Amino acid sequence: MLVSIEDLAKSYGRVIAVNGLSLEVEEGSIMGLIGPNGAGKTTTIKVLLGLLRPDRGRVEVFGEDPWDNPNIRSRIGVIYEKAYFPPHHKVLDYLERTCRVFGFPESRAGEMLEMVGLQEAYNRPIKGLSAGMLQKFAIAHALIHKPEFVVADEPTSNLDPQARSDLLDLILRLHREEKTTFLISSHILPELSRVCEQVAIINKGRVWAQGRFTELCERFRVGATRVSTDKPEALTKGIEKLGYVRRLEVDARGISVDVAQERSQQLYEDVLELARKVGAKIFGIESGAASLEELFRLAVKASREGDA
Amino acid sequence: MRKGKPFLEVFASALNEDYGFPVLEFVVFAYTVEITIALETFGHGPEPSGDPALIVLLTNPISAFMLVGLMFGLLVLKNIAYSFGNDLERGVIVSFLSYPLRRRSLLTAKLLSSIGVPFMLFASIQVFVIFLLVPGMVSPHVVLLAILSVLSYPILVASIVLVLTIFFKRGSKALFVGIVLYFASGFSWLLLLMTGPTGLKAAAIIYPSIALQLHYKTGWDPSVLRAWTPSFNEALLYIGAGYALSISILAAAYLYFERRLEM
Repeated sequence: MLVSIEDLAKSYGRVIAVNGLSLEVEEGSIMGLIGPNGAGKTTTIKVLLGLLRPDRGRVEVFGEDPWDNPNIRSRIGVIYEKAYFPPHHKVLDYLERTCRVFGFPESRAGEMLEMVGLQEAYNRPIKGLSAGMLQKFAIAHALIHKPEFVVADEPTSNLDPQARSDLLDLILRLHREEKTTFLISSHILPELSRVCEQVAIINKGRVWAQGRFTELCERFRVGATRVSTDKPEALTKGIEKLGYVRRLEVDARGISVDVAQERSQQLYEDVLELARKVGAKIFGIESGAASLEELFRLAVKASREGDA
Repeated sequence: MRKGKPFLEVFASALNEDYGFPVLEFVVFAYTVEITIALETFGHGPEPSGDPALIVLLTNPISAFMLVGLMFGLLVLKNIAYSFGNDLERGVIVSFLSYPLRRRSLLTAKLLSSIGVPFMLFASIQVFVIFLLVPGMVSPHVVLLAILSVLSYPILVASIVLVLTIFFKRGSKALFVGIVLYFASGFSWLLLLMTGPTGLKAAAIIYPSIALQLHYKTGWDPSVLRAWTPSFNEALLYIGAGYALSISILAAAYLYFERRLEM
């Protein structure tokens, strides 16, 4: 395992940020870290980067304790949600300095700026960059020393749609060509689902679920069929009686019905039959494609029920 | 693994941030000119004993050396407050913490830029220039002592400001408290001076220039001189004690900062 966290706890005064969190990141994987605000994602990231000292637990990155450990920093690249750099430095100068810090030729600074599309801003002071440009600069800064492991906390924040897409392509390319491992925390779940093979869902300072996306979808029964109708209550009573229905929910958007994949066709036919019987109009039946949003929603719900 | 130079690069980066505008060069130039004018005004030629020009410089409250201490103090406080406080406030220190560098080395590099560089410049350039411009007028070692005696106190206050930055995590707040502390302590010396020899000696440990000034016996009220007139060796001892105190507090502040540096 490239990252191994066991029973991590960290508090800020009386506020418990992380409590009993365990997480593993496989070498060569792309893992998404998702959770509601205040779940403990950023604290977890800061601990594994050695920026915070844990109150309890064991944290290993590349098999070493990350706290004040310069050895592993050459192997890690970090993209923060809010990127801050010394404001008076010029863009190219600062990246050249970063090249010297890590022992890379200065020419790499220009290459990285071109890669993120900042070639026009070579001579600008860092404080003169817009929020989006600063985020691109942070990406160039994080990747300049060819890290084996990249930790990204909301990496697409402040980026325009094209730049977001480019960053996701870059992540996939680095993963494919350089075997770079990524740990990405983001609220933008469609983006995460585009790149992440594995997901860890954090809530209330603990990991509630971790594994491959498909496995988790199966575990939390993500991928429900959605039925839109004018008489949801009447139809629900009928659907509940179908023996093969695993889970059923009614909300403003309609009825969500979870069934095994092989029962989907039967459900379609039974719903139409039930609608005829109760005189309900059917506006649409969508067979459920598993989405990270759905997985996240169900996992968080399950974690809250488990907590209660 | 590739070998970089993270310490030197952080040091260079800190210099760039601390002295973006050539404040330091300007200050050193201005005070060199001021001291030269003062020396030219107060006398020419070597004196067989006493170096009256030097005595004036040492004892006059508005003398150049006292102002050197003040300017050094303000510069160092500004550097510490902004270099550490603003970096903490804005999170810039996080980007340095991604370098393959221990926290201790990071702090050392920044302290060298904030305190070490101005100390070396104020202590050495002034002596060098005075000696170069007014050769034979003053004894270089006494000038060096005079300058050193006014530089330890700013280091002490800067150490306290270093601790304040980790509390406030805001450079401007730490700088404000530091400047208030710097000037407020001036009034506390006056109170110490009035308490007699013990207070005088206590004040001389915190601000060793007092011991050196009293040794030269001028510019002070006779009652103060009757209370305590240190020998040259005693004055030296007080300068040493002043530095021992300042450096101890700086070391404690450094260790405290290093331990508390969590982002």
